[in-house]
Amino acid sequence: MVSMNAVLLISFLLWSVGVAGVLIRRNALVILMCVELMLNAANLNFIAFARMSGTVHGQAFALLVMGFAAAEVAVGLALVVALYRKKGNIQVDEINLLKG
Amino acid sequence: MESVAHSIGLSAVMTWTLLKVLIVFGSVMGVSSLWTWVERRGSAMLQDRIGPNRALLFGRWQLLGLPQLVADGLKFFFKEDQVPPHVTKRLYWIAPMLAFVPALIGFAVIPFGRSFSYQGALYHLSILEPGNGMGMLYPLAIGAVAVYGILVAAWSSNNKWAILGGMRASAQMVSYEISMGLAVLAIFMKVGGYDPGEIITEQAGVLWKVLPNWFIFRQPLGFLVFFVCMFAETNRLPFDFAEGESEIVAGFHTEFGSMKFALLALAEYAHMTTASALIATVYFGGWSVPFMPEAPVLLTILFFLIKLLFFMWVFVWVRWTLPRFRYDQLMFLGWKVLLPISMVNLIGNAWWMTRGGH
Amino acid sequence: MFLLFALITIIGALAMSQQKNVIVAGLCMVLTFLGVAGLFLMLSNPVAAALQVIVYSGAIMVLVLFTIMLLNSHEEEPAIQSRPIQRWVGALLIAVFGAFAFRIVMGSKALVDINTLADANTAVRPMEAMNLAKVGEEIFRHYLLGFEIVGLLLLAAMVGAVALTKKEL
Repeated sequence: MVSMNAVLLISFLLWSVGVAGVLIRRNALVILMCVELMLNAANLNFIAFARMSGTVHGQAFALLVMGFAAAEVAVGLALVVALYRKKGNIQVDEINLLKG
Repeated sequence: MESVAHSIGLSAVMTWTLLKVLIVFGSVMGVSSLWTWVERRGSAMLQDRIGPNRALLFGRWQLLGLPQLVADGLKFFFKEDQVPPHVTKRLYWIAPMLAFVPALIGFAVIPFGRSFSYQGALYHLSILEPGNGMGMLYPLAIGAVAVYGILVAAWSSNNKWAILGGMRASAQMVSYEISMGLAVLAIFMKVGGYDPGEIITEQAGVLWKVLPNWFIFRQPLGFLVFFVCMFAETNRLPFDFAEGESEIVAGFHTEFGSMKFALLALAEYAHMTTASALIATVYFGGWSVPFMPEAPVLLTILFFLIKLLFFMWVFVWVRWTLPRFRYDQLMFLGWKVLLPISMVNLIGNAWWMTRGGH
Repeated sequence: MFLLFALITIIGALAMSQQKNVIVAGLCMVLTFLGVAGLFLMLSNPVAAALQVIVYSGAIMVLVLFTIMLLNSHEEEPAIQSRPIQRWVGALLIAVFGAFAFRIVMGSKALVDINTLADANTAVRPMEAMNLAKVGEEIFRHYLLGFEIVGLLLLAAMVGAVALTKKEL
């Protein structure tokens, strides 16, 4: 029997690493991966709660999150490719067009 | 069973599992390496050549060129293990293992014979017991991971040809996995379950009084898609874009030599074994013997082996018959031909089932 | 086992966020996804584990690695101007926020409730593993709207991705 606290702790750590990655890294692709990490942490929680409460709701929702993640990655990668075409690299520091 | 288990200090279940693991992985390895020989002799046969026949056992017995296998193995073992200076060392070392392990463990869920009871206990002939909740999703998942071996090998080589091969492999995998998944989905729908055991029991019986009740006759479109996708998943000709000797030297394994290359090559054959087993299980009734509902256990294992080896031969046969596609043709086939076919297959089946058909 | 998968997950995630080489970072990410799949298995949910491997490792990460190879940008470039103050303030804020969140969640009554609920559930009947039939029924019975929305979202994402990357439409 896996205890809920342990799962929550792991998913929390996973999520924090994701947040830190988004804040610290400058490569757009790595940032994209960190967002995936956060979604994964959420999924872990959903699954764990589904298991502990003995229902299927969390599992169903985790599935929807996976679909959402796939859509997000598709658009994200398209953005990265478009950015690369325009700028020649994919550092988010360079995206400051609104700065004037 | 009990006494043997007791004598090596393990529980009966553990011993049985261990035995199955040894048998399955041993046979997959054996068949894979044997098939390197079958491929060479088979290609020679198809092209009206003689094939490898120079290696003699103890300088005397030719044995249809079988000693060539041993000679090749020895050569790979004792060759100098060169690591090119420009590679990414750690990934370069891991890559062959990454390619080999998924190819090997994909087999774990496939039942290779009828379950039997002995002294009141039921024994299943597959490493993962039926009802494990993974079922046919497991080989799909393992197949999805398998591409990393190629990707890592390609990238760590630090070689333009290799990277081109890796990119082709990844694009190809992503494109063909969808059609494959949809084809298998139609099967899930028909069976009402996704365990390989259930899929096989569903295929027992007779269709139209003359044919075995296999899914190939009930879903020929799905079979076509699945079959083509299996070639793409195993990176075999006509889809071996990751290698493409005539275009990109040797693709992802350009920089690999000696035992590392042997592992990468063996991984391809192990993949082929798993793919053949999948085709046999999903569309050709797995271990079931046609027209013999109560076949003895050994006969079912034999029939599974026959089906498996037949499809492995088909892989060889196709390789030496068809030329390689062009890359845009591959994408065209994957997205504009196979995907619509598999969707038509899925929706058509769903419609048919709602109309009360089976 | 649980601890092993947890360690794989966390180490993979940390390595990913520290790795300068983008391809290696992607591979660490795959490790993390596999670790999470293992955790799903430990939570007796093989369906989620298989789907996790198929969707994340099989599709998403392969696409990301493909893009990395396509763009040929393996190394992260150094920042144009380093902002040490922002970085440290950010780290500090995360730590503070994390500590608070952690205390609130771990000390909450709901957590105690759900643990007792789980214990009660297992006491009544053994927890059975998830299977695809149950999930499908749940989605099409209670979450049909969500399912449709995700489908629509995927379609929109597909069209958007093509529109963004196609040079001339």
